[in-house]
Amino acid sequence: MTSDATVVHINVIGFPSAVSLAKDPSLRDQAFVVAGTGRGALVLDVSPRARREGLEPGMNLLAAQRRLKSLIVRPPEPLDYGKAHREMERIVRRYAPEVENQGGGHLYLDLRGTGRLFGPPADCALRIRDEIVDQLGLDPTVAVARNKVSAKVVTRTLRPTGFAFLQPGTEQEFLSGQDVRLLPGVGPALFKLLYTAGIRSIGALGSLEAEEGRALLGPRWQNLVLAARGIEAEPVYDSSLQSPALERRLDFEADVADWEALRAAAIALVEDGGMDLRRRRLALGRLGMTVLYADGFRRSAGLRVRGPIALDQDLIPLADRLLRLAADRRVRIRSLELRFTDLVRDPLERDLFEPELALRQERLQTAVDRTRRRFGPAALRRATELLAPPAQSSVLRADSHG
Amino acid sequence: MSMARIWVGTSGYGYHEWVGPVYPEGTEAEDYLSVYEGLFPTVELNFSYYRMPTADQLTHMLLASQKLIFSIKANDTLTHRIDPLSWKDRAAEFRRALEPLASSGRLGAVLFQFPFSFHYDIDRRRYLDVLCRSMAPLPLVVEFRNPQWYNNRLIEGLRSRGITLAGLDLPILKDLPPVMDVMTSSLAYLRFHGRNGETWWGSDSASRYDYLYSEIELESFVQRIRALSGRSERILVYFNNHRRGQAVQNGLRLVEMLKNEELVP
Repeated sequence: MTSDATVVHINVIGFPSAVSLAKDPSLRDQAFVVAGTGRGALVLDVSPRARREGLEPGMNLLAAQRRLKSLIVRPPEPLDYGKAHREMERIVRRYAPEVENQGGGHLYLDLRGTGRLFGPPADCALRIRDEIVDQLGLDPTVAVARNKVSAKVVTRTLRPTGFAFLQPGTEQEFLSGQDVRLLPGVGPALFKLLYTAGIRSIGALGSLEAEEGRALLGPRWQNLVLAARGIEAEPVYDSSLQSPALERRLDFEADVADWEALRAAAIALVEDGGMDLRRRRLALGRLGMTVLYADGFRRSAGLRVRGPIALDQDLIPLADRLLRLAADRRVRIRSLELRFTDLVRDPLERDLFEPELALRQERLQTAVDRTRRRFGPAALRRATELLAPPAQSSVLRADSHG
Repeated sequence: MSMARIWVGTSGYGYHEWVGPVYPEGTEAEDYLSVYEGLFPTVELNFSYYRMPTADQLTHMLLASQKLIFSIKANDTLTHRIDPLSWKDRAAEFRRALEPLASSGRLGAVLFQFPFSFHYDIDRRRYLDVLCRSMAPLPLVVEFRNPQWYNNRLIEGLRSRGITLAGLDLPILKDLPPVMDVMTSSLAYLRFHGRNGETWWGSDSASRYDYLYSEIELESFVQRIRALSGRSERILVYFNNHRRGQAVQNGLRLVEMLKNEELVP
């Protein structure tokens, strides 16, 4: 029996709480949330029991505690999340030649060509799930389909957990009855627009004619309508083919003490790396900075971001914060180094219409990148960067696998 | 984690061609059930699909067996040949017939298997809702052959009503429903139809279900059952690849494998 439905989507719904549960089984059936501390802390994730009690991610922690007096609060444990995700990837790589790593307990595999070794893709996916449950204590939702978009809608349909194999050729029929909010790319704002237009199901979106689609959804209508019909050409993008880290370094001609000049140099560096990220359709999960002082002392700092980022508007404030952390000595600085890590394929699944400002920023960024690629990085510069001190040479660029 | 109780059996037992491969030579039809009970703890009755069962028939089956758990497939007047004017009478008749099974505590589940032509539209959704309410509080299972039904609204609807969505195994063919294991009640219900893609369309049911699962395929069923066992209270598993007793061969082997995994005692 052969099938061209070989794409598997594995998703641990509520990854932070699932990892907490796997680590501490006594939490099973307990209402707990994962949240930071301090004033205005938000709930990052909720346990299944807490969800049944009406709590949701994004709530104010105090409000959640008021609603449920016995609520247990667990701190976010990014190291554990990273470890659990890496373990999941280790398991799936034994079976799948191509693995697209989306982070946070979220993987796409392509099992094409593995039938003789591991049996039909659906059976193999079941074995993978079994190993993840058995070895890691995580219970992922698993879907097998002909493409990523269909597989993702299936896992969303199955929430919070389950297994499904979508018969090849039935994608459109299967998607047609689903709530339009399950389609990747439909966020709150686009949903509002679709709702106003009377479009509630994926099938209704998929049946839009070209003119209607263009008028309602703008220039990117085609991708969305094709996705709604279960058609997608984007393959599983193997994450091992991408470099796990990008590095940028700037050695100053003379040691620098001026804060604004340092800041300008950091911005220039992060912009340079950011452009490379976007060109490769990557986004980062962590940015690190190392400062080399004139006395030979080195100080490093790193910050992890909540979701993968790739736009300058997000990268620059991060670099700014890192500079304050790493360059806190009253000693001149000889060089700056940035390290872009935890790189993931930018899923490009954001809501096409939400928020409008973010979409504008994305378009602006694309225009800036295009101009810089064509005329050189100096063709368009932020005013701040004009303060950057002269460097010994241009920015040193490296891809590392460390 | 508490584990579910698991029963494995076959869809139907009254196949004359099983005399030889399953039932000893010379076994009379009226003895099939008692011999079958020596093999499996549960059976899915499917004669009820072709003709409306009666309470007397089902009482007789209860008496002819000791502890066998019966699941029963709904009559085709409720799933395939629905008459808008008379279906409520047929539903009441079917409901009355189930009474002996329900009151004996040996009713596994009531299965409604809807054909491809049963589309996901407003009239049929209303029909399903009224039908299920008329059968409450019996343990109900639905199986759809049309993929449109396998959507998030249906899943939520089944969850709120405590109705089970049957998990299937089928050949890989266009127009067949997805294989989907999703918990919508405390009962999980699996039906393994075989993977004979060549004879699925345009042949009789004997050829359609002519298939013997391999060891590796059975292993994938163990994995499905294991995943469901942590989330359900009861799991009913039926093999429908009945041709030449292959369902029995596969069912017995699956039980062995489940025992090895300590999923059944």
